[in-house]
Amino acid sequence: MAPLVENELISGNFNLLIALFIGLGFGFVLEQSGFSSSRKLAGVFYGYDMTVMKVFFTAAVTAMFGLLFFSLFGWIDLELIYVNNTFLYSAIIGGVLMGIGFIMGGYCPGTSMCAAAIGKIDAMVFIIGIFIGVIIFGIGFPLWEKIYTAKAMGPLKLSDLIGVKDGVFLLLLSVMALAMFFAAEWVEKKFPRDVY
Amino acid sequence: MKALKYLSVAFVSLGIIVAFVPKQAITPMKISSEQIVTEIKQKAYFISSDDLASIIINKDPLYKLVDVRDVAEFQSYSLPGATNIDLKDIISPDMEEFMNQDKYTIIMYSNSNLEAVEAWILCRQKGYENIYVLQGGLNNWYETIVNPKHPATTLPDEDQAKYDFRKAAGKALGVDVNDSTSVSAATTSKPSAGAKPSTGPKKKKKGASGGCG
Amino acid sequence: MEQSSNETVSHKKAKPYINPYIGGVLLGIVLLSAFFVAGEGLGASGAFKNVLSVCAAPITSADNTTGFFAKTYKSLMEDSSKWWIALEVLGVLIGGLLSGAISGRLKLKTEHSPKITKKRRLIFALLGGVFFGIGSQFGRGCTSGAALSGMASFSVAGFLTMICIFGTGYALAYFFRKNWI
Repeated sequence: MAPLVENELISGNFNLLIALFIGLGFGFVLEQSGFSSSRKLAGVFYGYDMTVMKVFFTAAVTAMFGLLFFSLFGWIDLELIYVNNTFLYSAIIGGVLMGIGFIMGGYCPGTSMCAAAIGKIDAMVFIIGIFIGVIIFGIGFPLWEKIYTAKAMGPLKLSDLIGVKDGVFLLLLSVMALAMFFAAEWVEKKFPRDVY
Repeated sequence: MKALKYLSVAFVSLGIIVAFVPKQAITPMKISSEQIVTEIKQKAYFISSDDLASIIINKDPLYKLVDVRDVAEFQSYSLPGATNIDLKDIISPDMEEFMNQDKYTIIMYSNSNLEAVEAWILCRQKGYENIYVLQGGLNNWYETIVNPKHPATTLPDEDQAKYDFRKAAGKALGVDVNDSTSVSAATTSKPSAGAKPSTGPKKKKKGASGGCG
Repeated sequence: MEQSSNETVSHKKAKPYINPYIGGVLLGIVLLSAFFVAGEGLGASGAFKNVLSVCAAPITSADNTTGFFAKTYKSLMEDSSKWWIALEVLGVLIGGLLSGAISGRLKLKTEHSPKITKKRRLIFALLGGVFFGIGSQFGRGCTSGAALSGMASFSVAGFLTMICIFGTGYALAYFFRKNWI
């Protein structure tokens, strides 16, 4: 049955309304988890607050379990789920630049929206920065169009790349995530911790 | 810490379940195996050579013939208007646009039933609709249409009529071009199977176009 | 364990944040519902590109439809489902505001380490935004669109981008420590 839009169970306009509500949930959960504070977010890099890592991996693993179980029950057609296309060089360059942006600015686009909504001025400035960044990318696009589209590997799944079933892959990933969570709890105790 | 403990229990137990679930159960299968088994048992996917003959003679645009044999066999002999798609390419992404649709009916054939039926099963597992198989393949086609046996005179009239149709069809298809009037005999005969799929048209998209950047 | 101590020092009124694991599960459910409804995950940076391409349309439409923004604009005009992400991000703003209002965290302020000035914090925030803006275009999505949703759909790009974001962050953490601790 799902994805609802792909199987035309709901109309395009209704889909856009749902987008608003899903975004609302997204923003609400981010803010409730403390992602509206840049010092809390940046804590993940210094060990004094590992919230980002905990929320991020718990969310990813939860959604993955959801997808596999929904598929198992026949509620969702995994083949219609969008798998991000892999462009090797572009993904690495993008990741590195975003890493720099994260450690300097302390936000990512989603969380900056959330923080700006509750009145963080630094987040509003960060958003202006994003606009400038996207403009720079757009204007200079001809310069890096080649590298942007180089090494196209299509919608490649990591589980297929290493040759295991999705389920086995997810078990490994959840065990890894849990190991990281226990390490995070230990690290948080080790480093002095302020409250933001 | 308590939340993490609950989370650990949940993740590990759910993880073990998904790790041991057979791949087929998770890998998308648009049609359940049970349904395909039922369809195989019913043999409703077969279309007789007589019906196909009239389709070809009528040049019905709503039917497309697909030859699932290899290129060499296709070049040495094929049915008029057939497209060659090797069995190994039948569900390839390149062919999906042609095979997975609801605008026309595809009739697949091979030398016997075997490869065409295999192709049919592959297509059904992918959820393709409107696909039929020429019963008996080209061998049966040859025996019934190209070179029909004259029925024994003791047999009932309908066999004689069938023979006449086949003879006429064969002629119309260029096997024997002596008698042009026989074309009308072929065109007036209606295909009995009707070859219309029972399921309604269903639109399919290629998946979410997505992407954030 | 942590929610009890949270937020009590800085401003007394504010409610504590929820437990990160519960937050994670909730976020996972939101992400799953995005997959369930639209067939794709969450995102944020795409909205920036869309807004810009619409704003820039009068300029970019002049030079045929070859430009980066012109292409985006064209696809937005042709396919209404491309607006999904823009509306979703609008929802994020509303959701954040709602959550902040409920928990008493609505306050106009610049958050920074006591070791640095407000001005320095804002300059770094702007620069960080610029890097994130460029990076999110290369990565075809940001932390939510490429890393989180990409990971959830088992995409190689998702895992790769996630590792690069956090890897770079950790590699450079030492140089920016004054800004945060």
